[in-house]
Amino acid sequence: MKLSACIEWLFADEEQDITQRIYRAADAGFYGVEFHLWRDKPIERIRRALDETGLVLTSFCVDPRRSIVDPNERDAFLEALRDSIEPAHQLGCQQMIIASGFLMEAVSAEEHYERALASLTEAAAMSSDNGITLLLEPLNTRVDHPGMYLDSVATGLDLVDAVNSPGLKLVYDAYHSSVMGDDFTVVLAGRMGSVAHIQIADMPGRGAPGTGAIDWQAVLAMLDAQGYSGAIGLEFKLNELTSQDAVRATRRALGLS
Amino acid sequence: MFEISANIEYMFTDAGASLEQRIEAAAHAGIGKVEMFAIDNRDPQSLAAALKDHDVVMWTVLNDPRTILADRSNHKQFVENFKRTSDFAAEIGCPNVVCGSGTGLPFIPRAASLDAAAEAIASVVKIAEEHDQTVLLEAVNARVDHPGVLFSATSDAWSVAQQVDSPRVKILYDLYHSVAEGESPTEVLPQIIERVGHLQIADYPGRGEPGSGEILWPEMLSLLQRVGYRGAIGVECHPRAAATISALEYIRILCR
Repeated sequence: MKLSACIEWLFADEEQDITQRIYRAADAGFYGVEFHLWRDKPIERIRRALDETGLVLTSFCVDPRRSIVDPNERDAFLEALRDSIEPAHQLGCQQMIIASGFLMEAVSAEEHYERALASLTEAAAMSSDNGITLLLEPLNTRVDHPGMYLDSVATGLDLVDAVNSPGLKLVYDAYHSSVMGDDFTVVLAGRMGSVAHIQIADMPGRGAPGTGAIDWQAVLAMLDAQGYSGAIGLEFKLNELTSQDAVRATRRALGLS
Repeated sequence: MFEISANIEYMFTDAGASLEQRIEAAAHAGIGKVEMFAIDNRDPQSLAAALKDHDVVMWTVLNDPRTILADRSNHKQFVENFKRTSDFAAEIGCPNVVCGSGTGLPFIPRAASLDAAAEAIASVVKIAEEHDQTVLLEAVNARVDHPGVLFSATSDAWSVAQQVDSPRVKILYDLYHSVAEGESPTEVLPQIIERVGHLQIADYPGRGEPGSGEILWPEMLSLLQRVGYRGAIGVECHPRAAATISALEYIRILCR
């Protein structure tokens, strides 16, 4: 199993410096790492750490975050994407994450969808021209992101399928999806071809797998049945645990130890 | 069995453009409670006179505009708006002021947003007390009518009412919004009934009059009886029929 550590949170208790967390992830036997925004990060030092450890940077976020449903932010969204391609190339990263931005008042669901589709079509073309796959991420609106447009995995997959480009896939975050009450065996059934990355945290609490109520054996069985072979990003908060304990809990929950 | 209260912004529009004309029409139809939205460009004296003449009570007014309560920098403005609305309500003898939440804020989690909203609501309790009014917190659906709104689930309004914990602060449970948001009234109502101060209905989908959509009204009314709801039922719908009075016929028969 290709595990990737989201080093925004994992190993933050051990290392102040994000670059050092890459070495910690390597020590802990990870396949890769991922992080959120890049403009606040020491790109060149991260590149060196990736080189020295051989870890893969599985994804980071297009920075700054701009809306795909607000026409006033369309240009800024595409510019953020254009700017983010260079650090991606520098870091050998082939996947970048975007969320949708927030719902606009007095705009219908259909219009939101059409706007998202138009922005994503343009963005997917730019990404695939540059050898990058954009990962569209539905976020939960119930706990963490009230007002976010894309909170539905089904709609996210519809958008990815409608754009139909190697430049756009979905990142399935089991935590966000569970918070929204999804049954993952239903929302993902037959649609794994449109999913290029998986992120996990338990629910409630967004802690390490095993600290909440998600049935991880069932998640693994589903990923297996649907033929998912990509990386799994550990994007969870430490809450009360140390990183070492959180990684142990994760491995136990995933049946890796 | 249940008294009907009629929203006269959406209904009785066939009686005329002014709220005063609609109050008269509601009274003629035998309806003793009516509800309105924003107070802007409304004349409290003329409304009070129409209500008195026809022996009708204005049951709710809406605190408007919908301030973003998650943003503390809006709270001063919110208190001023509420004071204005509360004064207006007092002048026309209206006992309930409805408050929505406004939208969420980018990248602020729900719990933190609800904390801020609860602070805002707590800060107007005293104003409501002075006028012997109740603040009604209303969740509205984000899926169809109010994309991005903070109070989208009934539990949002509930948790703010819990935090403020004042007899002056109750929940306005709008059954249409609740169903539109994917909730089951059968599950939700029993959990919140102790804090429900008012209830509104429309059918779903379409927000037409009861009977125009898919909600099973006899079941809903027996649910209301079962949970012990005794207040008025505010009908807040867009009538499919040209005459509001015929649109209301079905629910009025059921409520008799």
